[in-house]
Amino acid sequence: MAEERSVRGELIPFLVAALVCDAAVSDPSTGKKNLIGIFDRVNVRKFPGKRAMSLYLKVTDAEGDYNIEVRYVQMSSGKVLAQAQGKLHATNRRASVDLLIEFPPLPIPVEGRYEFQLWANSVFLGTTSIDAVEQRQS
Amino acid sequence: MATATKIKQMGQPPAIQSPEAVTSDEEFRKLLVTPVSRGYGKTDQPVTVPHQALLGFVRDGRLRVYSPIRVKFTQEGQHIIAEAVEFNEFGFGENVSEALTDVQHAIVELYFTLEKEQERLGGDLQNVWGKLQKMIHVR
Repeated sequence: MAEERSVRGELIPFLVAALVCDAAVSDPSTGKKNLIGIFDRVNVRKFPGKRAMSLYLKVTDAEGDYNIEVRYVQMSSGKVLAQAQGKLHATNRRASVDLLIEFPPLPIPVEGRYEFQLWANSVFLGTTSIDAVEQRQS
Repeated sequence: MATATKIKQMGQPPAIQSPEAVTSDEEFRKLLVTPVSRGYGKTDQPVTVPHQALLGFVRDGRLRVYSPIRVKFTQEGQHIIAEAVEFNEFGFGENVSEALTDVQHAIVELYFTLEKEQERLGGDLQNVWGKLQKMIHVR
């Protein structure tokens, strides 16, 4: 059997969608993806806080092999607080690929904006963010 | 004289079978998560500025980046400066993300300005327009 050769992806993939949610499941019969609890803001009672989050990414126009990296960054300081890494092998640039990163509780040190950055072969492809706000006591 | 229009009663159309929607990528590709930071509760952390980044997007749905754009970062006091080296364009912000967004907007503005004025460009700007066309395409 011919072994599939690893070819570094030269095309810059296009980020179609990036959404932060509580969970995501794939329908085993159709492959359709279901995102549960999409959000863009976190109410925190007391800083520092932590929260588990999932990140759904859809990319297209990828061909070859890519080292994928997702960085969770505190925007005010630029500090990377967590990261996810993996390999992506794409054979058809016209098809799209669904990525899911199930982060364990992520640190939310202070009020502000936090960004999920997608990198492929060290090229910055796009971003989505959440805002952490202090939950006022009523 | 009014002519009566014959209305032909049609039989029931054959039941259309609803096409099944599926996806090309059947399963999620999952990535391994690695925590990278400790002591995150501190609020007096210094601002982390990377030396440079390769940009693969410009935050504008009309344009696609086909060759990575090199951006260098420098810090001046409280401000971060992002420089798109090939185009001599700059972006400013209070943090790296803001500076990057600003330089992306500057690149988009430069692209459409040079496209509009391409017949009247001098030598240097012709050179920049040539680089832009190689690296960025209209979708």
